[in-house]
Amino acid sequence: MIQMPAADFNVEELICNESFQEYCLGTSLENQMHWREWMARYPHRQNDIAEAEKIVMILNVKQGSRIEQLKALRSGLTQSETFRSAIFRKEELKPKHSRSYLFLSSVAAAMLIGIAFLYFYKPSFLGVNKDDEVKSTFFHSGKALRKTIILKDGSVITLARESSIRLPEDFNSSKRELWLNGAAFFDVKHDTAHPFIVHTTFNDIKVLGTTFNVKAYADSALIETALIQGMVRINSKKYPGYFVVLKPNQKLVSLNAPVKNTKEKPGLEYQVSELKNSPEDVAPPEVQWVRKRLDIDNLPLSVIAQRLQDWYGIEILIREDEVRNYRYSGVFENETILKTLEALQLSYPFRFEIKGDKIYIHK
Amino acid sequence: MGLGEDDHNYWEQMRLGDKQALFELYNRQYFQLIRSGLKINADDELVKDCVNQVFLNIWDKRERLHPVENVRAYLLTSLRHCMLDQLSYLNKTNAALSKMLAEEDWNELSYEQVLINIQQDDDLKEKLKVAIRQLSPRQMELIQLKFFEGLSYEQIAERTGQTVKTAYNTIYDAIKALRKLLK
Repeated sequence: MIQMPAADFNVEELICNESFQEYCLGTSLENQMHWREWMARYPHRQNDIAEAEKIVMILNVKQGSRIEQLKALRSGLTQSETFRSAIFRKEELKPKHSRSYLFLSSVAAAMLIGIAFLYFYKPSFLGVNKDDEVKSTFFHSGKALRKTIILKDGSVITLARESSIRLPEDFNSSKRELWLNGAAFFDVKHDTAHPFIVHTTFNDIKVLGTTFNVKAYADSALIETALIQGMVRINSKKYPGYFVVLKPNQKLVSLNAPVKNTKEKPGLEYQVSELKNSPEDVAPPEVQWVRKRLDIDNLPLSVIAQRLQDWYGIEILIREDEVRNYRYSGVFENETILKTLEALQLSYPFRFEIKGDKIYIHK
Repeated sequence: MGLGEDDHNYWEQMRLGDKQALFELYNRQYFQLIRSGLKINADDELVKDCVNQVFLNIWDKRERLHPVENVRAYLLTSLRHCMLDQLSYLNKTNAALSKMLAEEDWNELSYEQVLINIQQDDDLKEKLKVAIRQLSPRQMELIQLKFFEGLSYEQIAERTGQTVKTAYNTIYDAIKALRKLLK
């Protein structure tokens, strides 16, 4: 556990703190989360913190943040691959099925977290903010196997059967918070400055931009959280102040017995274990319900759109007939709908527009 | 040895097209490469660009790459070449260029030199020069181990034959003095 300075810290102490030094070098996401949160607690010490950070950066001679640099490398790779697949596409215009499209499937560094919540009593959280002025939008999947919603910040949510989310109307890129009942797969737009928070009855899940799966059906007693890649922090509501940070390939199972004694140790109810190692390219069981391999071999967009619509449960409307007949080839593995569309766009351009639970495709 | 072994494995995985292995290598080598680069030329933007360029390049030509005995040495050499190319392209500093061309016996910059050279702000440069003179050699040594090499207090204590407490206190006092001088 990281030792955080007390409220009356002085600047020197902060500079000498090893974890703080690592924070300045951006060595781990976990570290980033802890320190950002810690800083948020002392807004009045903002200047001291800034000074400490500045001195650390002087002394480490701007070695830079490894996380930031790695991000730059990743986007550089994506760009060069995009560029290449664009070139290949041109050659493909005379239908000749090269293997070039294999690039696309590897672009998605599928980061996922599976979180399953099963608990005893009917969730009350859907009514949590009843008194609030803020209006909410609800999305229900009902009997559908999957239903996909794309949020204003670019995050994608796929709801499983009989699940719903409540989205405050003022949800936007800087205020990312929602309530979940049921199971859902999240692909959260990366934004370190604005954490994405999923509230459920017993836990709040805080993420900094990653993909994860939440299951929170009523009438059950088990909560399960599985993380494939990225970093999440689960704050217990039952034991205020208690939290668990998951690392990739771990899952958290917690029991939601009603509180008998608040002095009880939460450790017994929250247990972290490793995910079963599945062969490469196969999603762990926790998230398989939402993962799919989509094999397209020289098909018109209208057919592709229909397939996507059926699988992800989001209505896709194509505006112009001309666009319907654009033809594509590609293999998409474990992609979100957004990434799939973006990959298609690279091969042969079209525009798409998202309005809640509908996607409109234009020329 | 164990570490080199891991690098070797990641390298082989990467050659087979495992992108995650590339990122692992990156994370493992990042600070080493940056530090070596800075000692060649105290321009952090240039160094960072080149480090990423090196990794982009090896990913691009992964299929044509051969097994490498010493991955770190390979990366360092690539970084050096990349910086050399960049510098000659930019025709930035003839001094740095000629220094690098004499590859055999080139002189690395000291930590203190890097500390000063890297800053753009003349005022800060001056203050740092003063500060470096004011601090004792011991203090500077420990600051370098801590902030530049990224050693833990335990490692510093071990290397300098002090207790962890003494190492921490030395650095703490140095920081305190430094902070005053930089104000």
